[in-house]
Amino acid sequence: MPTVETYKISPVSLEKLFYQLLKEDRKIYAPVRRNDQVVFDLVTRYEEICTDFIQTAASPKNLIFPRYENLFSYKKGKDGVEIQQFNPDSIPEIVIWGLRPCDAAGFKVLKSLFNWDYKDEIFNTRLNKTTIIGFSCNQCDEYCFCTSVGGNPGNTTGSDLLITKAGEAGYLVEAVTEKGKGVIERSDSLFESSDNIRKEEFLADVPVMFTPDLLKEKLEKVFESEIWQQQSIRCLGCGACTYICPICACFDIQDEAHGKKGTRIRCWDSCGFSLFTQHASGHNPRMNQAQRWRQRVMHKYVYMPERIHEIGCTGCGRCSRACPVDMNILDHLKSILKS
Amino acid sequence: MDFEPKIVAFVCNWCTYAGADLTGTSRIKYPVNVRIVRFPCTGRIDFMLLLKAFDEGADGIIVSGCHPNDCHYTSGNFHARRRWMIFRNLIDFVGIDIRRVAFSWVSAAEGAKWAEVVTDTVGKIKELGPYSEYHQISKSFDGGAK
Amino acid sequence: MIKAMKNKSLELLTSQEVRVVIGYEKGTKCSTRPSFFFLPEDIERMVFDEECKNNLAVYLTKENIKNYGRLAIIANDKTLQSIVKLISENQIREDNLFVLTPGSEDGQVIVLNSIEEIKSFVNKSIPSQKEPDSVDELVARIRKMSREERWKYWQDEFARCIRCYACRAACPLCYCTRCTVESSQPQWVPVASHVLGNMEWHIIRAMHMSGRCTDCGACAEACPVNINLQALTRVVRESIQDEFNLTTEEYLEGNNVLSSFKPNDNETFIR
Repeated sequence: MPTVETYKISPVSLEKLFYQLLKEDRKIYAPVRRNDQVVFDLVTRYEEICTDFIQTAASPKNLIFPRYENLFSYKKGKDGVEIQQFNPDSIPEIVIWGLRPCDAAGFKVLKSLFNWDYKDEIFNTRLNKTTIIGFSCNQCDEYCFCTSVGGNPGNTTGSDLLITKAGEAGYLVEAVTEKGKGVIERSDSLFESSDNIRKEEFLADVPVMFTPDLLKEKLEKVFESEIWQQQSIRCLGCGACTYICPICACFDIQDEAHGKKGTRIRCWDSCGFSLFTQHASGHNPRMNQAQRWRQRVMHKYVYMPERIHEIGCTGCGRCSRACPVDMNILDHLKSILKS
Repeated sequence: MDFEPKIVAFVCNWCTYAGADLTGTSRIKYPVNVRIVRFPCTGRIDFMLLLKAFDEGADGIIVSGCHPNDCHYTSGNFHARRRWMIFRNLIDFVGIDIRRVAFSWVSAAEGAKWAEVVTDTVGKIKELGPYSEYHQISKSFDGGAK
Repeated sequence: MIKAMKNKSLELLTSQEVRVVIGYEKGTKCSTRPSFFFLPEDIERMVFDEECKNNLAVYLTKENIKNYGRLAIIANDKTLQSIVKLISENQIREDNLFVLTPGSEDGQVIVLNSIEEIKSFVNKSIPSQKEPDSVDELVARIRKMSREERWKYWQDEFARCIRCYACRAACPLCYCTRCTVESSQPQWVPVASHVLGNMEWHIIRAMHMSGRCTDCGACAEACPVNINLQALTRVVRESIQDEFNLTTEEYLEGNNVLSSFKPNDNETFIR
């Protein structure tokens, strides 16, 4: 584990850092206001960046694990099939600026997931070409629960640089990885020594509701419980929660054919859909929404910790915010713990 | 080279297809840009087929069947007519160029009318040019990552 | 009114007239959310006010809910209209359903449990003239655009769609167990959420809702990326009203517009 280096940067220099990164020919994605929401989008002007928000509507996972991506394309000809593999060199260098520590931590989980047995080259290339500049949270709401799943509002996990607003005068910068230190080296005139800023003073206070171990232990005992049916009865079976989650990474492989040409595409999929597990025979091993809801919870808090030693949730609370029928995950977890 | 539009014609088996056949047997000339797809009835022509045609590279579309009251299945064309009335309004609202979709009733006896419909449509689409706006969307897939 | 609503619900549950009451409870922050009340003691949780926006009719066609048999549902205006439409599409058995809805007087709750009662109540309660809302404004704004601008506008909207199908799931009238979008022989709509697939999906959705949509706005409300979906269904509904000259009553209770016809349906574009 490399040691974290800390610096201080003034608001003016932070803006300069942004333009410095742009000059380095990187695309910068940052939270911006669009259609009454805060979302990640391509940004070229510093003023566009939105800083006053709890959490973006969707997580930035699509920047590294896109909604759909071409794996290869093929063409049938006289001499057989010609296959053109996706070229990872075409992936641009990008910066994700201003994401919350829970999203940055999500990328670490995704990395473990995409390197569990098969090493996913496309994912790894995208992640390697991405510089993650997280911003600590100084506010939270009743949906947030990062501290209950091993995170915290100033968590450095997953970020290359973590920036914490320390009052009006400046920001504390933590260079977590070699990539982050590289950013600082390339613009070292912008940074000052950190003067013993106490980061904790500037972080949001997210109450701890439970511990992941306690939750896992409990969940292992309630697989057959009625509670899944009780909780999921209002679930509509859409995929909104999984699609905006920073960690949900289930996908579907599809061929899109046009005559003799076609593309093989990896597309997002969701365990909330009834077709997700439907067999060609018509049999569906997860036949009702209760089983699908149980799978989502179990996968995140039991199976992923067992298999990849990561909790499949960073407590960002997006699924609860996005749900059309307010399936509040924190409420549900608390009621499972109480049961 | 002059622009030669690709036109897909969705026609019913009983009237317009027979009408187009009559155009041929009557030795009436009409532009070669049209590819005819035969359906049992206009009622069978799903609106998705029209979108698929544009997606596969059509610059214009003709939908044609039996005159009202002449449907081989009594009411297929009446149902189709209602569907097109709504569909046309909807795709126009979404910004699809409805000038590129021509609807007509051509009976089995109207070989000359079929030639007219095709000639006029081809002329109009030639003026409008290739429908690259639509064709580009399927080519512009960036693999999801912006 | 909530008191009367609770009392009626309690009455139906304790007399075992119904197995479950579908209603609302307090949600996160200031919101309310759908809730299911099985036991008399559950009723305490029940809330009902203007904030109860979910269209609960969406649950009436779900297999696991139907299995409960007799049930009661707390209905706001949107839910009522959807119920009438579902009845006209033969999706609800009237003898299984009690509808609890606020009456015109303060604190009054009306119980409807036959198709005729529901229909006549809805017909009386639909205002003849609707105040223009933000969706109308948006539709008017889009209509003023040039075709190229409209195309650009909707391409940008559709590009954001993540294809979570929350619009489909939240819609009471989208009750098919097999959806065309999931058909793979042929694959009508690409699975990938690229703009072409998204546009095709939203056009299909609006077309399949034509003559059926009750304009409750649940689709737009559910959309996690704020696409103005209601504008599409509103335009379809408006063009049905204009083209076929239907009253709201005919629209809700009559035969489906696209599976019926009049020989003199009037159009101007077929040569």
